[in-house]
Amino acid sequence: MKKRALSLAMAAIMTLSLAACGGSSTSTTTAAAAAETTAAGGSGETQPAETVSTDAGEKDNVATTGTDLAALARSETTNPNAGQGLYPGTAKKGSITAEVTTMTQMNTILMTYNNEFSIARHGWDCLVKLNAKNEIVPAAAESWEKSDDGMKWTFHLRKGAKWVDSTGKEIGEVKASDFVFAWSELLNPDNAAEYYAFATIFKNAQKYYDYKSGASTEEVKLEDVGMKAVDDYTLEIELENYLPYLLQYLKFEVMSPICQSFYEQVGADKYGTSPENLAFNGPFYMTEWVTENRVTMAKNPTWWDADNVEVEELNFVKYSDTNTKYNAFLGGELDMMDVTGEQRATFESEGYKVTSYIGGYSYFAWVNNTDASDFRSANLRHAVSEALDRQQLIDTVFKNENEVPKCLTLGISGVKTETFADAVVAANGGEKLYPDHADPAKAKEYLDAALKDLGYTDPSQINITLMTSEGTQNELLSQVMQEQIRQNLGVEIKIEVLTITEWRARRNALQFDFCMGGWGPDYNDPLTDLELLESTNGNNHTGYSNADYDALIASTKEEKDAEKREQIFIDCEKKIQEDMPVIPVYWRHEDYVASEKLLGGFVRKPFQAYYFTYTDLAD
Amino acid sequence: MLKYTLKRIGYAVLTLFVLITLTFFMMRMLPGDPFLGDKTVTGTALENMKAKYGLDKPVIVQYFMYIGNVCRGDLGTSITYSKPVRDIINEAFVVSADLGIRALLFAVIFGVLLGMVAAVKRGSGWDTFSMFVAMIGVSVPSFIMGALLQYFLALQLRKVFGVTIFPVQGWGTFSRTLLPSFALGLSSLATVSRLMRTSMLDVLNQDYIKTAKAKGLSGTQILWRHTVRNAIMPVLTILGPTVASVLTGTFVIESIFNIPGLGKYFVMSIKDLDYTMISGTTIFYGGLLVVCTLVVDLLYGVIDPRVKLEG
Repeated sequence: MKKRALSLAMAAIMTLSLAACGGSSTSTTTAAAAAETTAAGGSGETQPAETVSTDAGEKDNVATTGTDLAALARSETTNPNAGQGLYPGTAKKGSITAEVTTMTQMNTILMTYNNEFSIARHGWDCLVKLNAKNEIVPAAAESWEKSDDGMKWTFHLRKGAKWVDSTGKEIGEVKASDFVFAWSELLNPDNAAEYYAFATIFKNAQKYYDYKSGASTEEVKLEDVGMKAVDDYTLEIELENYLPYLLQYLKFEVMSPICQSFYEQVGADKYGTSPENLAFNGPFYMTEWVTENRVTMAKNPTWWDADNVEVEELNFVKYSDTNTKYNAFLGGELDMMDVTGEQRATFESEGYKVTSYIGGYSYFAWVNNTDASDFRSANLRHAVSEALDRQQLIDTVFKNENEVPKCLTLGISGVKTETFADAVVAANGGEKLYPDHADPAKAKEYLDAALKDLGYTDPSQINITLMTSEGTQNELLSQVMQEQIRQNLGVEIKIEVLTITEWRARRNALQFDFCMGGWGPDYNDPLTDLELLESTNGNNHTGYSNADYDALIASTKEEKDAEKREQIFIDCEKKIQEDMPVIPVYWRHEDYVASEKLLGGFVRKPFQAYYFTYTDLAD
Repeated sequence: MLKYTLKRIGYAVLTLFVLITLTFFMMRMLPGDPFLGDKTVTGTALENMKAKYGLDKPVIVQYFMYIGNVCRGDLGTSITYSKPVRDIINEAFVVSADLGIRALLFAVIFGVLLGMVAAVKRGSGWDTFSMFVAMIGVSVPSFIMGALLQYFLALQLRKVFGVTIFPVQGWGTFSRTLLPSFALGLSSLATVSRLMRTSMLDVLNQDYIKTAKAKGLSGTQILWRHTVRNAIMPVLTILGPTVASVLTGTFVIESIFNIPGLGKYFVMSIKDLDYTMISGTTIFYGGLLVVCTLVVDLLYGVIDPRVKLEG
């Protein structure tokens, strides 16, 4: 026993010292908005599918309604461990406890993190939602139609939907004007909403924002913005530009409605600072929020599909220490948690299955394409890409199902294929765009060409540094890349470790050679990833500026034929592979375990990191 | 006494002022800014965000505005949480203080008792046990102790009995407070018990104890009226530093037991470069330590009239 205690103590010391180094895994907070699921639609009150027009970007065969959403969710996900008797989960009946990593804002218009969107998905109904298959289905809106040119949309809201407060008390009806109000607050410069751009899809909205911000003198009134409540249940939207994926925008959690009368009563300063200062129209309402620790939500009996909701309570808990989180799961205080490669091995050795899903995070090296770096030579970028053994890197650093990228874009649906990546692979003759293993011969060829480009005579003249943010995993990843480049290319690269803030500041200022970054999609369209490399994009940290690429991206905004449009995106992917402004390294798979209390019906997908509403619980 | 008190208060205010000023300018020298998220915000949106928190003005103007606000008791709005720093501190410090007080009570009550028993039953098994506890308390850091408690008392006991006796983590119910208070208080308990034991032994050898025995007082009377009362003085004097070490030591325990206290904000705000939160927590902790020291210094004079407080 003593020996065991000692080894445990050693493990504890090690874990803690790791945690102290920062511990954040490779830049995970990326793209706040990664996707999540939501089933809407609605058993019970289904309507004929014809009343719902599908969008140009959507597949035609989507069963938007007429499907029992709960049944769909339960047929999509089942817990492989149910009934084993190993980890029965939390004791409280009807309650689920899940782990979150970042939750700082509960005001939907100010949210930026994936976990915050997950909470919002349970508290608020947008006009539309995603079902368990990531298809758009009705939520606050029952049906909608659009004009022939696709520029004008009319949404018909569900009648009798209620706002409730943090005690579950009804405080009013959900009106069309509540959506208009929420979007106008998103565009209100005083709120300084980071995701305000989601509301600039409406006609004149950007001009209105600029005018209100004092950046433009041309006066634009709120009435001129293309969003109008015709009556309590009818909402009209006029677009600034053609937008094939409008519904994907409208399902985004920052576009949730806000109860206008309630907001004005508590005041803009107070709204969202505590559950008492929030009003909800979703399947759950928030009863408690302990900052940086826990959010508790209770089932909203007034929600339109409440009859199909078995879950009575949701707890989202943030753990300050990974070991504590692990112990909490073992101790029956947590029902769902993400696991590390080591924890995965432990669970599997006990015969407890670990599930993996794609959240949509694609990881790549930002490369400085400007003259400031030796990476100005495209050949050098290709040489490094060929020198990386991506599969070995995944096996060494992550020890999980992370994948070698088929293309840059991950987690996006295809027009005819299940995913957009499948379409890219099909167009590439069935081959992935990026190889599993290193090809030292090819790498050296590129290197010779790069030396010529740069006017060097010897590889030792190449001077590149890998900029890394603090964290055990980040640093290990960098070391593995350094070693692979040394072995397969014969080039010695340096590693520089910085705090995350300094890392970001240097990345944004293009003061680096290359560094690992990641991106998660905001909406279900390849543009969400591919517009990153547009020369004018604020998130393009490469200095890559290519007129052809910009023209390709611009043409996707005009093209109305879904298949032709997808082909343009495939061309973008090929252009990236050819120019290699970024070096794709891996696709992340998130590993998690669910306690046996959760029998199935929960959703973990891109755009729906969590959706528990239709979870089937044991007992 | 009055002159001394005023002078000490003056020093305390000056210390805080220097602390605020240094923190304010030093955090501005850190690379980056609070709006550096993973996604880059640029142009008008960034200007609006800066304006919302008053960061669009020159730093020196911001400094004087901040000092003015602090004097009015306004610590500003946290950039990360969009809510008043004061509200966050209020919410979190209540928890930290609760944990700290529990740990202190545990340390003092059991430390004094253990020290007493060890002294009275000197050389017995009790004495060895108290020595053992002190060794553990002093040599095992609280975060190791926390992990061990979690493993043995929370997880293993649950396995044996099939029900949760001590929860692994969390806050809010009595059973959740036990393990963290124990882990946090143990090292102070060790110090207190050793000090109490030494002090007791010292007192027991004094002539007035012999006098008391000779007077024919009962053992209990001698123990409580003459020995403990005199022996406890040194324990009282180390209470000040102990309070400070417990309050500042809660961070690690809060992290291990996932307790929503103030400690993590102190660390996280620096990582996020949440300027208002960094200054807010620094001023709060700074003020707390300054006040603790002041109170203890002044109390010396009250408890022991032989200490003369001269200005």
